[in-house]
Parts: sequence; C-alpha cells; structure tokens
Amino acid sequence: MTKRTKGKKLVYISENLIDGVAKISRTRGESIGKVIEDSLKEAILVSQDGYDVKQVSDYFKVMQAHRVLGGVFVPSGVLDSLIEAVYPNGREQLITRFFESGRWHGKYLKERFEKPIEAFKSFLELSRWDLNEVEVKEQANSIKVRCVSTVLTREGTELLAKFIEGIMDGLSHKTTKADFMKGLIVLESEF
Amino acid sequence: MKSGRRKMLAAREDLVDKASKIAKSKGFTLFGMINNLLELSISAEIMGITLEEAVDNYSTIRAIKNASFTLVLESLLYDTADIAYQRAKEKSLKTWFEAGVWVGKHYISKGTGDQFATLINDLKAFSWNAPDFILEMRGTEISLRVLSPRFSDSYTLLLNRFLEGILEAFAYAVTFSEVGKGTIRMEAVKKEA
Repeated sequence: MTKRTKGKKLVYISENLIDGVAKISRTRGESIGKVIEDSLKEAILVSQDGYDVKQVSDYFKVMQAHRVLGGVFVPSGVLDSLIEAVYPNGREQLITRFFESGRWHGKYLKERFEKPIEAFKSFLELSRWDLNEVEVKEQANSIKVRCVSTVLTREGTELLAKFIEGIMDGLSHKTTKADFMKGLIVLESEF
Repeated sequence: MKSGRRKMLAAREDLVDKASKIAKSKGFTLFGMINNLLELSISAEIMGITLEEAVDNYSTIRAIKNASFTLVLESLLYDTADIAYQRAKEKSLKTWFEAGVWVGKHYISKGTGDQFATLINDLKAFSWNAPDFILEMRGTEISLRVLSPRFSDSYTLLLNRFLEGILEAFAYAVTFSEVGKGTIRMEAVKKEA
C-alpha cells in the first residue's frame, strides 16, 4: 500500500481525485503533497474525536444534497403539529407536494451520484432520524424498500411513503407495490 | 469512484503511519480512508469551506439530530405553517413556543459551559433559510436578529415564538421585540435568580 522515500512514504490516490486535489492545491497555493498531508492530519484529529472519516464524508454529501434541494431543519414535534393541522382539509395537496419533492430528490440523486440507489439508502439513514430501520434491497431490475419507525405518526408515514414513491419516480423506477401502516412502509419498484 | 486507477504521492512518513493505524482500527484500507477524506476535502472546497469546517458541521448535525430536529422542504414548511397558523393561531404559537422551551432545556441538560451560545451557534449553522442570524451577548443582555426575505408572515411569527421559547428555557426575559415578515429583532435580559 505504501512505499518509503526519505522521511516520506508514497501513498496511493485514486486517479479520479487528482484533478480535484490539484485544484485545491492551486487555490491554496500549496503543493499537492501538503494537501494530502493536511488531509491525513485531519483524519487523525477526526479519529481522536471519535468519528470516522467515511461517516463524516457521507453526512456531508447528504446534507449538501438537502441544502441544494431546499431542505430546512425544524423541530420534529412542530412538523408533526403542522401536518396534523393541515391534513384534514389538505391531505391531497400534501401528498402531491411530498411526491413532487421526492421526485426532485430522486432526479438529483440520479444525476449527482454514481450509485443512486446506495445514495438513496444513505439519504434515508442519515437524514430521516425518525426511522429505526431502513432496508433498501436492489435486485436484478427491482428495488424493495422497507422502513420502520416507532415514532412516525400515521400521517407522517403516508407522506414519507409518497416521498419515497416520488424518489423512485425520479430514479426512473415504477412503483409496483406500496403498503404502509403507522410506522411501517414496504415499497417495491421496477426499472 | 469511476475508475480503479491509482497514482502514488509522497506524504510525511509519521502521518502516513498514524493514519494507517487508524484506518486499520476502523476496518478500512489506508487507500480507502485517504480517498474518502480527499473526496470530502473536494466537496468542502466546492462549497467554499475547509475540511475542518466540514468536520465541525458534522458535529453540529449530530447535535441538531439529538435535539429532535428533522428536515423538511423549505417551501412546504412555509405553506403548512401558513395553513396551520390560519386554522389554529393560538395552538400553533403554543406548539412552537413549547418546542423552543424543549430544545432549550435539552441543551441545558447537556452539561456545563455556555449552552445558550452553543445552541444559537448550532441554529445559525443550519438555518440555511436565514442568511442573517446574529446573536450579540453583552453580559446579561442579548440581542438577536434573524432576517430572511424568504420567510412567510406566519412562519416569521411562529419562529419568533420558538426563539422566545428558547429564551424562556434559558431564563431570559424579552425586553424588546419587533416582528415583521422575514424580520425578527429581539432583546432580552437574564432574569435574576
């Protein structure tokens, strides 16, 4: 993995990242080697804080996507109460909005990520903190999604199911089965 | 990563050794860990922030997550806030105020140090919809200003109550308040124990 020179070791870097690293080195006016060393130092600090780099990197990508797509943070109790207030007369409107929002997210994941289905799973796991379990199984030409939550309301479950259906649509999948009950969503789709 | 081709670059031996040990302890290869990190550096650079700031953001996300915040589409939030406010004004204001008190108490229970400043800093970091979120502290007095041209009338009023709830939890008494569409200005003083 590494080769030794005087006080230095050679490390392998993916060729795809070289351009990006070179750009950072130009912006900062530092050598590529310095950029790599700074990254290693940061990895050591991140690790000392008890985090791992992959987790930080995945969170960052997901949050960046939310930011681009117009996501904002709100206390979950407040969101539940808003949905509860709007639901009786505005259910159809909400369902349409959540489906459309899901479509945008699906299209973004498709364009932005090399493996959009994996990204979709990370997206749910890392940003839907109200879910206890997220399962996304990719088969030959179909995807099965299962979400379990002990805190989601019935309305929240239905809206999340519609959001996921929207994501599938954005990923050019056709939903063939969508079952939900309070706290449980099972959805299947095909290419 | 699109291709499996690799290049070799030199880095300080002690850093490589340390990073290699960390990678091994986490079950990664050094190659995998360095590349994850460089991907993160590049993404952060595109957003105009440093790797260190990206890591700080991660800590904040965890804090926000533990404080029971959830993500929702901005336009949907404003629409539902408008409808909920029109249908049940008092109940909506009460819910947002109580949510603010809860979040405030959650931060207080986290430990010592200036938890109020920590909470406001966390909120600032992730109030993507409010580019101007300023807190000034002078002894026992604070001044808070939140501005966003995107806020709806109702959302501004509800957010104001949420912030009042936070102040209540931290035992601040509001001495001045001015709320208009997209504008919240507030001054408060710490209540005497």
